Amino acid sequence: MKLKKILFILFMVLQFFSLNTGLKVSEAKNYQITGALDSRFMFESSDKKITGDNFILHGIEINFKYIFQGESGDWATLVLQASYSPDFDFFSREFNYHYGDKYFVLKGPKGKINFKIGKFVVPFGNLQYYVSHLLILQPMFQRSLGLREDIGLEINGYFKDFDYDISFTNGRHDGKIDFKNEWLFIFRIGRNLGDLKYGISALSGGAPEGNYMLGMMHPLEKKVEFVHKNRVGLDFQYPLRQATVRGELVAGRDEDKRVWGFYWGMDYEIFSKLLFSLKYSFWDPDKDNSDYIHEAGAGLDYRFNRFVTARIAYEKGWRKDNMGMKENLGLFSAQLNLNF
Amino acid sequence: MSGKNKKLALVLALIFIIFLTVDSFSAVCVFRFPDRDVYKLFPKATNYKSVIKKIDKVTKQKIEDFLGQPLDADETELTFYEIYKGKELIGMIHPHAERGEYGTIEVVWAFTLEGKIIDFVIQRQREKKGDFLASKEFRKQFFGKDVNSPFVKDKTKDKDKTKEINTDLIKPVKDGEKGSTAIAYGAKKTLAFYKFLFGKE
Repeated sequence: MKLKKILFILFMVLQFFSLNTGLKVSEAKNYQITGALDSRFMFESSDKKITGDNFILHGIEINFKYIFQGESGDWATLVLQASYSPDFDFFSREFNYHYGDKYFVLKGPKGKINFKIGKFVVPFGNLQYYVSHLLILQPMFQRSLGLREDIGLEINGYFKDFDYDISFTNGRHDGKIDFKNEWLFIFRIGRNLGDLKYGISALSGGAPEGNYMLGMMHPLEKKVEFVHKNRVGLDFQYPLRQATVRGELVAGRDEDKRVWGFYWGMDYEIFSKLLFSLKYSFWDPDKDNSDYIHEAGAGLDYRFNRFVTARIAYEKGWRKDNMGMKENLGLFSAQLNLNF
Repeated sequence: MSGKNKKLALVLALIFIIFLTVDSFSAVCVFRFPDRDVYKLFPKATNYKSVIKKIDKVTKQKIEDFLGQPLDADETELTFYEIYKGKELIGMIHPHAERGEYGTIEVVWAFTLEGKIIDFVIQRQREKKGDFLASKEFRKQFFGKDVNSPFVKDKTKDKDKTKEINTDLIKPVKDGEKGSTAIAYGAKKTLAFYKFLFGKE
């Protein structure tokens, strides 16, 4: 049944691809349709043998962007993403970490103040500029925030060399709205200094408790609890020659627990098609306890062309909980990513 | 591997092969900071309009003949930005990427409605001489040039048309020849896109 579903999706993607890339006329338009398909083979160190469960269709997305225009230019943008995965529940954390953008942006004068409403990536730390949703090696948001996308309002824009984002979202993460939920407030101010990009973020409000499981979230995850969080964060990204380095330092509180952690990542272009990536992150879910999560990963990313990217990565995680129980997990992933 | 997985692997392999028949470099460039860079390049602008142009087969052939080079595989749909002062159209912007020595150089080109370069900003690069490539001294060599300007050499020993910078027109940055060449060829290509996609032939 799962195979039939996957084959059907692949067939539809190919059909869509052939429609979308057919060259017809040099026409001007104010909309774009793009898409992606992320299929993976994943093998955890605890797996005994390869089964059908090791192959997943992580997600397929079709993105529609429409630009509203008047006589004197663009005044608004609508982004709608249709996304699906046969392997993850529509309301699951893993799915909502990566998919489901649906928002409307109303442009203010000269883009200095813009209003966004809908479901979007929250503007905390490097999530504001590091688009990681189709990558295997992910930054630290699962531990430090417990969400990546959320429903709400955002005001963003530029002021001289600075860019700013202020968001007020529901804090649920899963594409649903619950007005009883404690809402989540995020503020970030960033700057580009030459090629160096850096920023300071702050967050306060209700959000899902951090995901402290090692490895990718499984479809049968436990019920998500919500906690009151406060965070401050520093983030940066710097490209130098063939390398791009990025990092994030986050500290704060989950209710009365003090938490902190950091993330460091690097991409190195070995040659134009081949990218080598490294990441390391540390998260302390309770500074007054001896618990921790360390995660390290290395991967290769081969871009055959604009349509096909293949990736392999190995990640290793070490975790100790507040009862002193230790756990570690290795995860090998191979990914075939189609973009159209 | 079970029969089911074999079938899935086969289908994925097939799709992989179909999609692999396409060339690799991506020249299509996202305009990363329109709300910032539009007003740097056109201080009198009040807004911009995104114009997405699809390149048909006939136009593609015309552009390739003009450049003497094939277009990159992903150059099927390009975004231009019409720049407005109130309701008056005052210029154009097009972001374009070419490969330098250490990766992609993303250049945002500003030009008049007649296709004459006003200025450019580099929105992303990682060249050793990146600051010099972005300097006014290097940029001003492009000001006022149009699609017929000989940005690149017409001929070398081996080829009739090249991507190599024409040093008689543009003095390359010292120790930054590859980056200079990428920008010079990017200028020619950007203006060729404008010429053929906006009927400025």
